[in-house]
Amino acid sequence: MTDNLHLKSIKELNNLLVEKKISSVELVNYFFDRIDRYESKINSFISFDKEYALENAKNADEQISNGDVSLLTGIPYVVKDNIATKHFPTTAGSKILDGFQANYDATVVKKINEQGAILIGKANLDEFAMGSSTENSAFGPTKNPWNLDYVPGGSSGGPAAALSAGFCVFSLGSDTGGSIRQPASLCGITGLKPTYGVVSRYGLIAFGSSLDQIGPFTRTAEDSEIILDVIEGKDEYDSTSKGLNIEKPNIELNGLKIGLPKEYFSSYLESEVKSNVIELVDFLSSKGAIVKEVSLPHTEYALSVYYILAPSEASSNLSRYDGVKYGYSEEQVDSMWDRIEKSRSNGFGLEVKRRIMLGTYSLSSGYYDEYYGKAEKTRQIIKKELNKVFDEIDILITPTSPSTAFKLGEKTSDPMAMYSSDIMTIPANIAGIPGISIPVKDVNGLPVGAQLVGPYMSDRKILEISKNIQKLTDWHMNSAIID
Amino acid sequence: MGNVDKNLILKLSGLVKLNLTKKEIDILSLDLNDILSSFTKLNSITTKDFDEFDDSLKENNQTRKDIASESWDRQILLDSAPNHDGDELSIEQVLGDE
Repeated sequence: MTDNLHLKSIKELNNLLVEKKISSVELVNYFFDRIDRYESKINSFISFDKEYALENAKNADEQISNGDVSLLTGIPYVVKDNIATKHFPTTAGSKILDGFQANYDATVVKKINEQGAILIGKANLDEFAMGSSTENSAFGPTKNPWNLDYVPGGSSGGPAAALSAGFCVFSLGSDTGGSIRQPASLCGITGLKPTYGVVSRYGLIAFGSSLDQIGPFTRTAEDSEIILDVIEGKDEYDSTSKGLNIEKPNIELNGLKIGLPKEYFSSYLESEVKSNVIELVDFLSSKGAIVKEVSLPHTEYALSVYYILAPSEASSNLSRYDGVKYGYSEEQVDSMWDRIEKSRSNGFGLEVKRRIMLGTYSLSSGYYDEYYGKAEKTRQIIKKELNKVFDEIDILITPTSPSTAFKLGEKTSDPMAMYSSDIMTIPANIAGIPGISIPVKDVNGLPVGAQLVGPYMSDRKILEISKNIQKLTDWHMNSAIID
Repeated sequence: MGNVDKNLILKLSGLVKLNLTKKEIDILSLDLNDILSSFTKLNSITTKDFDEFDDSLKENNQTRKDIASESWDRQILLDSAPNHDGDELSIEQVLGDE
């Protein structure tokens, strides 16, 4: 069997499968061998099922034999555990969903499974996707495959680490304020947050409904495009879904207009992260791209806006967890209210409680105008400012994260420091526009990501530009070597 | 902005049905003050020309008119439920006997 299958792209594996050089059963066994060897060090999974995966792989091999093949037939993948699946429990990384089993697959899972891909497990996350390090999980922290003393980022640290560690070919995450792009950056892989509405949220456990979006983690931008083509589209179960319905653009790097927002390259950025992102920009400039500095002065308010709006929406979304309808329910209770209070108090972790309290405060009578109302209005200013900047440029390039991965435990007792990890990624969620993180040169063995942000519905454009970059560079070819 | 004392924490925790421990109350009092203080920078922005409800969801929401159609067969629904008693679904008691 061919070596290093975990480093191959979807098309390369598809060729091997179609040419019968490997079978899907062999591929699944290959990834489970790696999981057996390394997962105890990484803790990227909440659940996995080898027998189930092998059973589906046998079916995929039959489909391949019959010539009924898509690009994803027989390809193993992993899903963040806040996305509903019929076969696996769905926990959202929370004790309060202990034992919860959805009776349906999320639209994204259904679409990928229909293409013949093999779901091998559900990946760890910060509880209810609230966090930037995957340390807020009831199932323990996930470690960064590049260095086990460091976090993988969050909240989709599990699916990012699972791919980075070579446990699957691609994975799915969710991004409310950077939860795909930031862990992609910290784990040295490609992560796409599509435009809000491009991918159905049906089956995604709601956190911040006006911000949440599902997207792929892959080794290459080409793979991201393959996955997006499968999962995008209008869905009757999500009234905010629209789909892309836009033809693939042909974009040259020569003449591409790139904006560098000066507010993103300020002093709080680690100098080596900055210089490595600038190295990419210089490379693009050498290929004929036109680079200009732009200003987005309201960026400084984005973090505050996000940490008012997202907790406000979360405080409402999480009111459904009452110990009755889903998962964990406290048994030793005196009354209905006692059950609700005890189930919620023992079921939720501290970060979730913090955000529920913060959101409830922001929405409460007397404070609403000062917080929620003000944040919603400021959101529009930020959105308008971002829309306007795209009149003069094609894309923005920024660092994805102000730093490389930080050490486990380094920020757990300082919420504001943790929240600041998302400072580069939050504006795209606030404006509902697409962003992708691609690897650039690492710093002392820790990956760095550059973020490409485009206007509304420009998902194909930023993917095409990323593909062009990855055709000409090899930063994305670096991979984690697990100690 | 940013004036959260322990009494307010207790009031909020009552609203959201959370029984906080003493340690959690101490931590959350400090954290919420820190976080809310960081929001004061929003005061410097003029937002009077913007409507708080003119948000991104408004552009995204796709709705259609209601369409009357046949609903599921009663017996299928009853058979799909974990428990039923005649024509009624049986669910776990939550209200207690009082």
